Amino acid sequence: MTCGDVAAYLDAFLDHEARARFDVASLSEHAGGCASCATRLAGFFRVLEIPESAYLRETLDELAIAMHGLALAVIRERVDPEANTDNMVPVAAPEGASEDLARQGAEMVDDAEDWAGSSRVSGHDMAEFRDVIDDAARSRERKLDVAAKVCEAASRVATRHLPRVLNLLGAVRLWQSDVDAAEAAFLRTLACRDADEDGRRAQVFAHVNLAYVQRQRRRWDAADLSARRAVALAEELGEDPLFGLFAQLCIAVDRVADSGVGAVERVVARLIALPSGTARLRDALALENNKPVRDALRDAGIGASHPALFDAER
Amino acid sequence: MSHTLQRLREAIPAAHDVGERRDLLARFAALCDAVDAVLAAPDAPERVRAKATAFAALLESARERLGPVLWQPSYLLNVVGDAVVRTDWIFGGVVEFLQVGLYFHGLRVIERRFAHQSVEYCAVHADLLESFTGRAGLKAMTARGKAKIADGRVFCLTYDYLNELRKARTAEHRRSAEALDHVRVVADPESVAAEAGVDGEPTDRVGLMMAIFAKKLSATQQVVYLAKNRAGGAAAPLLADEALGRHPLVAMLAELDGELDGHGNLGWSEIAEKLHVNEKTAKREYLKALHILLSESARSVFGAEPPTRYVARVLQQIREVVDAKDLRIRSSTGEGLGRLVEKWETALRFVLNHHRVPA
Repeated sequence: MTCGDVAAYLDAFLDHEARARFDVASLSEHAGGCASCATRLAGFFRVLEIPESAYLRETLDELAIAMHGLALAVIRERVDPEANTDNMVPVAAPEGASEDLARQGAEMVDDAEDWAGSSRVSGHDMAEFRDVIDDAARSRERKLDVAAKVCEAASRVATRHLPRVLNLLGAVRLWQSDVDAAEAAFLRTLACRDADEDGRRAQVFAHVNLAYVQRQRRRWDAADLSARRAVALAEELGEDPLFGLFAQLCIAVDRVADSGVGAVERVVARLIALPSGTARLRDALALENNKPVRDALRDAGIGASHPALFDAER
Repeated sequence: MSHTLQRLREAIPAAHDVGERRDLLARFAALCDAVDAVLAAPDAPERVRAKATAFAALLESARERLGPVLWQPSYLLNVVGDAVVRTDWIFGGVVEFLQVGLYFHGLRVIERRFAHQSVEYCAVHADLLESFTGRAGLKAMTARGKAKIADGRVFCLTYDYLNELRKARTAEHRRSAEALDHVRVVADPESVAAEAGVDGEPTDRVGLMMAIFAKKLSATQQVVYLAKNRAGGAAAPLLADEALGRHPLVAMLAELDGELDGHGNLGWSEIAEKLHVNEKTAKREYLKALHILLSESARSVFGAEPPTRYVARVLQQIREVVDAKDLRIRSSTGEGLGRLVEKWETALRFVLNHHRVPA
């Protein structure tokens, strides 16, 4: 090792990948016996910028994920459901009951207030978050409204879980038949820049949901485009493209009079080609919400060519 | 301004100190201002206000107890750290102070105590501070502190941090050694024998071992190995030989003689002292050297798989000892390093005396 190697190492220090290529033990050996390198090293680390603590950001992230989980738990645990949400596919399974998630959320609110020394944190009044969480844990009525309120509150803070929260908000609005609000939430999900892998996974679902919104509005081309984007993004992330393909199937079924049964058959073939494709497609078609699709497929003659898809009816 | 904080601020020495200490005291004054602002803020929740009051009182009582000693950077850091743990108050202003204080304290300790591993320690220190002051890091730190205080012991933030630094450095050291091992294997898929010019049938087993020694062992491993296995001055007769004198390996042996100051078969404490490492590290490097010598020679002689489980078993035993955090050399049957080296010698003899049977 030479003084040049130490200098090159320090030049590459802020790039973790480049730094990993150096044999640090040998550099240390050299710097230990070389006064000029020891001085250079000390000088470098003395002026190195200390990164800001990630505590508050991570606490707000935890708050968002607790509120997302709380909204999902509220939907799951609600009594006398006013909308059928059987075909809800959570991007990530919530952990724990609504009481536990509410406690976790309240703890994050306390921690954020501790950090700021005030009830106002990054321009947000934490007392409002506490009220929303308390209401969600107590309320036994109009649960979809409560879930929407929790998601609305969580979406006000910029966290890494924002795409996931916004996607759920859109889904709740869709179940409440507020299509405009749902569309706005899905578009906001897709507009989240620098989404991490978890966020991009939520964007796959936002594309799927947006396809259903466009389908409701009978904008077939836009619907099909969203569904295709969902499939492409899912494949890029190595995720299951089933949901995007199923949306494509629904759209193809709706357009069977214009596009012909061939388009439907092509999508069915892609779905069946997925791992456990037949069984999963059969389960999806068996859901009450998907009855119109099931009937339309049978009418289009798919039942004859793929009887296994309708086994549940026998 | 609260009475407690007012007294505390008045006690901070005037800025006639120099360098980092003066900066730290200035930051401490800023911390007092931040705590004071919390106490004065109308929108501060009552729970937070109570924590801030208790925090200020703990600092003031430390000042009364310690007097001017409190203004020593490490005392100040430990007093603030103790107050964070006792009040369970992770406040932004406090964390900012601790972050800067711990960073410069860490650099001072590295310069003083780990000068010969300074590059490794400084890099790990810069990275660790980020995770230490993140949510998980601070929560874990307060949990450790509370456990200590509950046991009636003293929580010392600087000790706690240095302990975490040592752990992180050990983990990083092992990761980096393994990554470099991997790079060597990937970059050099050909056998060592071919690389050393001992091609085809590596009948020149001595040449093979010397090539492995020269090309596969790190400088530290070479020195430790030779210090345990040879008499000093071994290069002198080779240097005298006209044919061998210019060989780079002989030149390297001569350098090693110089480094070892003419000694051979040194004790572990002497080796550790010469290399500026602790004994455990020296032993770990020695065992790594044995592993490389045996595994590389077996690969050159037999190819991928040695025809006996014995060699593989010895290699596995050495690897397990090297990988264990506390370098547990003594096995459950009480066998120590000597016995492990005996097994290694037997395995190596088996490898080097093996003759290939032409197919």
